[in-house]
Amino acid sequence: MVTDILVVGAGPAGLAAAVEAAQTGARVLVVDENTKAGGQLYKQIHKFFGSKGHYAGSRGFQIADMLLAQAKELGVEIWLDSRALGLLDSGDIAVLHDRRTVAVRAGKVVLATGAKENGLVFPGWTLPGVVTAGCAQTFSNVHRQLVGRDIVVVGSGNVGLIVAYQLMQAGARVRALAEIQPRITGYLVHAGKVKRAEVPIFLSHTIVRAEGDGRVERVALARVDENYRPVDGTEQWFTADTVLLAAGLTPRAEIASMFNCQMTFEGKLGGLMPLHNRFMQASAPNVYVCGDIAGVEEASTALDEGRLAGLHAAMAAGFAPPQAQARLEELSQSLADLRQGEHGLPRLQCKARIIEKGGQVCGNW
Amino acid sequence: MATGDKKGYVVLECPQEIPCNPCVDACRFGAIYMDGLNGIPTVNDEKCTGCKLCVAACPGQAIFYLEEDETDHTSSATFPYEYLPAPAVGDVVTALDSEGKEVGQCTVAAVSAPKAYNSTPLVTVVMEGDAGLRVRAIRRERKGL
Repeated sequence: MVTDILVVGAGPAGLAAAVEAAQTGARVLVVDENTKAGGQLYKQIHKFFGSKGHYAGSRGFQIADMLLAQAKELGVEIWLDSRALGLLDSGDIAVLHDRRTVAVRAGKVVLATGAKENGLVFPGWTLPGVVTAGCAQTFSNVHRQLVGRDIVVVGSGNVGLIVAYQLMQAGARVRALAEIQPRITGYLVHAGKVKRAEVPIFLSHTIVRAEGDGRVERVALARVDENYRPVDGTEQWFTADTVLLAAGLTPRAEIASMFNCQMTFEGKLGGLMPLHNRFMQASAPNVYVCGDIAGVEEASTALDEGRLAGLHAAMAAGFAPPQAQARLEELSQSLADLRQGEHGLPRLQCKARIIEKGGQVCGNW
Repeated sequence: MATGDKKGYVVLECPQEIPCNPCVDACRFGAIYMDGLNGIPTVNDEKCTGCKLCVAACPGQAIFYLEEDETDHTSSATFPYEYLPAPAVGDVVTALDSEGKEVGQCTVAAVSAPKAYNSTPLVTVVMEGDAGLRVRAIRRERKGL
């Protein structure tokens, strides 16, 4: 199998990269290990933030439909249930597809593998009923099955707030939402929806124990001190059958290591991730990264990073779309606009550090 | 905007600088202004026609339409309501404020969900006096669960 551009991952970043590259005339193959394209978008039933260019106001699954329709129209080939295994000595990429390992020869590779959810360890954390937010969201919004009726949410980031809201839409009751920080860490407007649904929010609190006969039946929250340690005697018990963990995400960057990409650490973007320059080129030859693998952010930033990676990869592969330079600048500006305000600026600083380091080692081949 | 003895206006409860502007695009009358994608939106009451498209469009559900009726001394609030079942006109339900605290009993005056709202129904509730101006939600029904 020969292609100009291979994209690994069919979430918002990967699909945006594929569409942008295919628009230049490049042949694009997208592989994804799931049986459906769209990444996390099909689980997102809420209206998205951002601007028109990021489909703001549309719901996540509607955005996935739009991206897939564009990809189809442009002749992008998508292999589902297909896993990129790694780099062969020949420089080809091994892809497990239709129960065979296929060697894919690609001019450029765009890695858009996304992120994975963090767990949280506490007494009782192995009991059935302790689930991550994304797990509960997949059950509810894809398989139409509520994971529980009475839920305690841990974490007030946007994921925790949004999934709490969606599980209530599906009929569950959220008994409490705990946040270890002394403030809501997600958008206040998302917290507003949860407050108006009469969910008590406990700031400077964390989960200290879950108990039950064979599954979660009750959950204890406790106040934490300034060092985030639970304070004895402040435990409050809640009747609940589910603990929803929304404790952040970590880039799924193993494949970048396998491609010999130089890595860097940014705690605010989720941990270890591949270095990249301002066009999303990684340090390994012909490799690009975009979306959450390059630092956990939002779907809107994933779209713009994907477009940037896809366009630059196509240009580097010899395609010369009209106004390419202007488009690169436009996408860079759009990313800068998204990384503003109290939530965006810390991410802008992380990205500036990555790009500064990456500028010296990425794309110099 | 003002018609007869009714005085209606939009309130934007969007206090954080976040990258989001569908309210600006939703308004056909140019009544909502933002300084850049991350600006805090403000509404120009002179230009606002009370169409409520922004109320349904806001992904943060942070826009509300309030109305005071000086003739019959009532007030009303219109807000997005994405729970099932939707209330019916005439239902008497518990009104809640922005923190989820009870404001009192209110009567559902309208429920609308045209296609342009993209599956976000708007519910209007009425209360005696000016209590309706504090309403931002209603207690949700959980029948059969």
